[in-house]
Amino acid sequence: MKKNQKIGSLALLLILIIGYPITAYAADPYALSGSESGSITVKSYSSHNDTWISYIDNGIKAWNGSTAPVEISISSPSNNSIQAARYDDSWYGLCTKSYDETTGYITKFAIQINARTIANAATSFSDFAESVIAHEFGHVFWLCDNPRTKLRTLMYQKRDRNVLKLPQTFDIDNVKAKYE
Amino acid sequence: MKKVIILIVLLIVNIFIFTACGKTIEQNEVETIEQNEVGEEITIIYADYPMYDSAQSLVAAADLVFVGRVENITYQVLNTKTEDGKDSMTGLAVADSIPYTIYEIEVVSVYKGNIAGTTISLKRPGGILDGNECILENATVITSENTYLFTAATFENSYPSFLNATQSAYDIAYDMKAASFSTDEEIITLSQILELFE
Repeated sequence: MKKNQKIGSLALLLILIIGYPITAYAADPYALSGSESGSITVKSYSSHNDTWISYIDNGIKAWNGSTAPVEISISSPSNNSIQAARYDDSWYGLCTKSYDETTGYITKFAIQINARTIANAATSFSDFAESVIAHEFGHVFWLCDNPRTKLRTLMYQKRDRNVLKLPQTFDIDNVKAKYE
Repeated sequence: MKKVIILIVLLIVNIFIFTACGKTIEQNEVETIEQNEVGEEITIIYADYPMYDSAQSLVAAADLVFVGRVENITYQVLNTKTEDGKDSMTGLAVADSIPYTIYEIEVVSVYKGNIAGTTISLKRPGGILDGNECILENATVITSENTYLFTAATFENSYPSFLNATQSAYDIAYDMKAASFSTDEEIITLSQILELFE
């Protein structure tokens, strides 16, 4: 009798496992859109001063130097841009992405970095700026804000931007899962 | 034993049903994608904002804390670069404009800061750009004819801004009820803010 009950329970479990409809949605830690390829371009940002060029360079190196299968390169005819200035607003950074609704692939993106708010909040200005820049590029690689994880992540808006400026293992693994 | 046989039969039927459904869904998906090879273009804005751990830190960061009724919502593309010409910090001379939503608000009561007159306009990224709607990701929904408590930052040459996308507008009608049973320490509630001014 006990044996029959065990077989019955196993059969029921199998029914539940096999029968459960599995549907994949774009969801945490992913956004609905991102670059089709890990190789992306951005217009030259040489109109900034040397200090800010180095911040943007380092924000890009944060991804290019990681083990994520991505590469950000500079290309004049690119649709994509990054600009840094003092803006009359309370955000540190913006990433505006246009994308195809069907595929989710980005057709263009624009990143804006607010030197004003960063100057007001930073204790380590360069690290803070680079954290914001690297974070915005994370959105280009499909990552969403505030993923539900207890692991360290560049995409968390409560991160200490003075310290956490590189993509973390969690971020890199998620990007790898998209492109590998 | 009968139960076992019934369960096994159910299992087999189940496998057939879901295999068949799966194929139908897959076929439909393929057909849909083939029919709409190029989908509609959507624009979304992600904003990296300061986030606040408590009502105290939120209110401390705000230049304005007030209750007001949203009278009108319009869209503008603004160049919010602080300085004309070359930016003194970054060297950038010409910056792209940003689509914004402008909320025209009739002020009901002011808790912090000074508001001249009875109305004020607040701006938040997201709006209409080149005829396309741009959505600010995860932003609090704000609708006309509703009353909210707002926290905002002021600027000399631009509309005041929301402090961030998620902690700057509290629906008076809804949040007064929500606050009483909220147990999430991460969430700042309307009553926590109002308590600071009692």
